[in-house]
Amino acid sequence: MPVRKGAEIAPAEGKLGVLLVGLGAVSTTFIAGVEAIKKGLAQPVGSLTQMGTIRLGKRTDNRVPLVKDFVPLAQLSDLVFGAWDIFEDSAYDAAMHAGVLEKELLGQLKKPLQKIKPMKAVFDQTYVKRLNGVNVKTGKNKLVLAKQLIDEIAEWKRKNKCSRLVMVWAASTEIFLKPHAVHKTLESFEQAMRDNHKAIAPSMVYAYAALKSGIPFANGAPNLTVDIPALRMLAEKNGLAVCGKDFKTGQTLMKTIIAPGLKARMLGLHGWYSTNILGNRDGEVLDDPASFKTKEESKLSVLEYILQPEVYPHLYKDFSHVVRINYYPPRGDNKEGWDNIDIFGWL
Amino acid sequence: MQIKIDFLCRDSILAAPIVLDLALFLDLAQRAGMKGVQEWLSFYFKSPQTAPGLYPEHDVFIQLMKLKNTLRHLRGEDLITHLGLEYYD
Repeated sequence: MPVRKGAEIAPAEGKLGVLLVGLGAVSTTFIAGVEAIKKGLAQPVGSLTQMGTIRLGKRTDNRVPLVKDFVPLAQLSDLVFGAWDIFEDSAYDAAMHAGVLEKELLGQLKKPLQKIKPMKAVFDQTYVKRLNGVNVKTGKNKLVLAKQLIDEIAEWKRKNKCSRLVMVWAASTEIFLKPHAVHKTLESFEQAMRDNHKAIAPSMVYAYAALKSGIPFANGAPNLTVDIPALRMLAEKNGLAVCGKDFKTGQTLMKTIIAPGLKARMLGLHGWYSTNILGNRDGEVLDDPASFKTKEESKLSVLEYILQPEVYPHLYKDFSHVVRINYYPPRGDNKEGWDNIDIFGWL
Repeated sequence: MQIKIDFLCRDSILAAPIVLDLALFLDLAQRAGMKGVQEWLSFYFKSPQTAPGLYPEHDVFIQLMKLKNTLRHLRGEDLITHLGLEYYD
């Protein structure tokens, strides 16, 4: 049953623990940003919940509250952060290493960032070939590892005095996995975990642990993770919200802004060529063809769905869509993406 | 005709506010009793998860309208259709 109109929403009382899988560039930039905003050092630019407004009623009503004043969201001062990572660096050291934010700003946030030390990760290099770390859990099978996570989550929640938790995957892109028979039911999924089946990726172990612990889960990578029947059913059964996949940030964000405009004007497309250079850990991981395949699938599907070639064959049938990612270390986190879009119009 | 884009992009700068929004909206969804796949959060994803058999909406403007209408629905407000004929009665 979908949620009904005007449903009762429980108040956002107490602390909200945000559990991050991966304490790399994305997670540390997120945490540092929230801490900077709390100190009044920065504005939450790019956040719809903090800066966005929502029009209510007629245009003549002049009712345009901020989103955060309209729905009862947790306050930034009530957020507590926890993370897992395969490296032992604190959030401060990881942020310094990532090189996204100015060292001067990070210096002002050193105290809260240094307190965040990553818990040992569930990791298997089979799924992310270009990474290897030491801060890793050991266990005889994937179900044992999931149970370790579940115990750790309960302990973390108690220690940090949180009333609620959410989990967000902000770690690497895993190798391309197709839905497998073992993903169909919770029983087959758990048996596969016991059997250390290769169709169970580490990201699924985290999602399973979250859902067993009563925590909603968001998937920021293109990994299959929670997009399988067994985990969807577990989320439904335990009354938990899940969402994914793959944060829409740079080039794809631009695509989903520009393509609807071209289609709105009924302009045709011969081709769209996208290429990137980037030098961060994301780029390093995507340098492996198996991980790139997962990313490519995620990036390619966007135009097909927006342009609907089957509905508009004269405009969008057989357009060429190419996406390339090149690992180029000198750039670090400063990515550069080029798009060449060949379009056609009247006659 | 050709369009060229050269985007000097900071992925982590763009991703960080998404993490914040998702943490807050997922917590909201949970407190509102919403369970399973949250298609209204498609706005934040390259490959939005949907119910089986449904195609995802990728158009960022449709995604934003979907998100805001979900918030209006949750709070018992009228959805906004942008029809506007009522102003010319």
